[in-house]
Amino acid sequence: MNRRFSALLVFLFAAFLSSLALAKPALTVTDAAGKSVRTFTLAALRALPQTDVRTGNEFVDGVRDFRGPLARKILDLAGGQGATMVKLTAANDYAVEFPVSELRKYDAILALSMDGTPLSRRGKGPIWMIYPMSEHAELRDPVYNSRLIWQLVKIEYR
Amino acid sequence: MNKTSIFTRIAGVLIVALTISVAGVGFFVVRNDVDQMRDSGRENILWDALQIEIELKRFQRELAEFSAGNPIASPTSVNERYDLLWSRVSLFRQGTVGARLRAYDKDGAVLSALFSTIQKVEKKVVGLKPGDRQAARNIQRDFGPFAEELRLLSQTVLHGEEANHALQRENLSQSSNLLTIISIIAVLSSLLMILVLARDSRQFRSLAKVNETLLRASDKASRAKSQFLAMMSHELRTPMNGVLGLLALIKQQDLSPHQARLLEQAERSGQQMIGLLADILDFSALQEGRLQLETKPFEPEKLAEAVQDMFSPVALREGTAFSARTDASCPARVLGDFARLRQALTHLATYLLETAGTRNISLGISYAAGHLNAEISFEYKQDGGEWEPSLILGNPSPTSESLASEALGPAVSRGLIERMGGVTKLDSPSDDRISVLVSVPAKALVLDRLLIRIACQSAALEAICKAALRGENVKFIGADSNAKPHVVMIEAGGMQEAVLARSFAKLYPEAVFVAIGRAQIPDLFDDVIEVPIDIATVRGARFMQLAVRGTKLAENNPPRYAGAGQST
Repeated sequence: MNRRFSALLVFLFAAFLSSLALAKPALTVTDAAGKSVRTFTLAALRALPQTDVRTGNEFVDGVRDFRGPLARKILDLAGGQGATMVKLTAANDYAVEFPVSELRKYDAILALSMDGTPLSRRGKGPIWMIYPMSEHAELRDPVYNSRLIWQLVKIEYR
Repeated sequence: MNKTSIFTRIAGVLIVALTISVAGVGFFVVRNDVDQMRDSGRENILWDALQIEIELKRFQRELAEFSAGNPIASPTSVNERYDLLWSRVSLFRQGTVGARLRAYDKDGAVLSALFSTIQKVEKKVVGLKPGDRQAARNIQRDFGPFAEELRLLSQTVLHGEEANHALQRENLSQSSNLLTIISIIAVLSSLLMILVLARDSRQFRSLAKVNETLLRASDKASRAKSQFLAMMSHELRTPMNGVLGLLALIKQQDLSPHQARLLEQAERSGQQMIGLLADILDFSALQEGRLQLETKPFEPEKLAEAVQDMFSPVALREGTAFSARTDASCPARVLGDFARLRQALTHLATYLLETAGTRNISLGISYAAGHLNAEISFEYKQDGGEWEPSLILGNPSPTSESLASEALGPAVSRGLIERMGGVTKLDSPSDDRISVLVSVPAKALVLDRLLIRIACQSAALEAICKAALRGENVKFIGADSNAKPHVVMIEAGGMQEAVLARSFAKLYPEAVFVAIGRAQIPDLFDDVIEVPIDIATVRGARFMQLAVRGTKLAENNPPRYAGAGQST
């Protein structure tokens, strides 16, 4: 009985932590002046229209199914329709900058899950920038490899 | 094909094959190098190895800050660093990047051990409480040995990647050398091919020169032969005319029936010889391309009449029937060489009757699709005479028949028809009849308006003529008009008849001459209108059809000879 009660407590605690994680801002978008214009929780990101991308890359085995909102959609929601450059920053401060036109040209997504399983922080999650590399051969290049930024926490546009 | 030509072809094929093979080898070698470069250049794994090293240092620093009691470090910040380190180290477990990292970490000595340690301390890290400094120190101690090992791993990756790049540079250099060699081989092959072609070209040029010389010599010989033939024919005809003249004089004497018959035979033989000489002259002119055609308007009906006039006596002598006619498709007038066409048709008919022994010959002239078509139809039986179709159709084999005197007529006929741009074919409309079909281009003369000039001394007769001929398609022109009349009508029977007819013939050589009334010299006219004038007869006269008959009828009829019989 005590065991079952303990298990129930652990489950409730995990659910509480999970709900806290969902409620915590997972992604911040800032404008050219560095001002935060929009934050997204994981729940908010999941509530957006989701796009499926089936692709492989150098960091996974074979071809995998990724799912998440389109990167350009996030930018547009944060008022970045006229932006020309974008800078993505990861939790470990790794950052990469590139033209926004690429996000308009290709269906790059902010993947929240791989093969139906949410991306964890100990993996490449919770947000991993994914390009449809299997669909576009020209994306299979070191330049685009460096943009497969994981543990994404911040987007700056200008 | 001579030996040189075979050698050239084989050499050409070998050179092309060699060039293609060399180019193919070069292509695959370079492509392999490029693929290798692309594979190795996609992800810089030195960066990935360094990132693991950096993340470990950051985690250890966070633990150090926590164990030192620094307020900026907390169990949450330690856990965040721990998760990032986990994420970095797990990189080696999958993907091509992981595989390449594993290749440098022999037996998983560093990365596998590090990941095991990370997993081992998970409970401690997750369960870290604020102020639990000793636990943080213990965790930090567990990761202590990995700093140096990761540094050494990064060095191994650095040197390994350098070695890889050096190998690729070496491969690229070799490929470059290979490409240079391939280019040189290709250039040499091309030069060799050019030399072979130049050699061949020189041989062909020399051959062409020899051929040209032979052709000139052959042309010269042929021209000399034709000139000799023409000269001999002319020279023979002159004394033969003398012989015929003398025979004509003898014929005027009182001769016994036996002598008259002999004389007639001698005269006929002489006429035949004159005909043969004329044919030789024509044949010679055709061979040399000297024969000129005269394109003038003529009436197909008159062509049929002329062939009938010339051939009927021959047919009568041979004891068979001959008929010539035109059908309704014929325009009133066409453009062509009347005399040469008559000659060609007469020669064909004569050959078929006299040499081939055919019977019941008929000539039908029709018009279709810009061509005047003549069909010489005859009855032919296997047990009758013999004839050689190739003499009529062309390309006769050089046998004794094709060189016989009987072959001359068909040869001249064939030459004339070809010269006119026409063709000759054979058809067999029924079991016992054969048709020789001759088709020559002839433009139909169809007039929108018939211009008539009337020369009458009697104003009343002129008025009657105009009243009889008046119509939408008819226009009368006077002496003051510059237009050339299609029909000239002259009042016949008077003193002026011949003078007017001859002077108008000079002015309008292509016009149709019509006598109004009975002519004193009928040869000067093509047609006659009887006086008193009957309007219905005049309107139906042949010369009036010039304005109404013609190509409209012909267009409605498909070409008579399309697909029929043998082709020449």
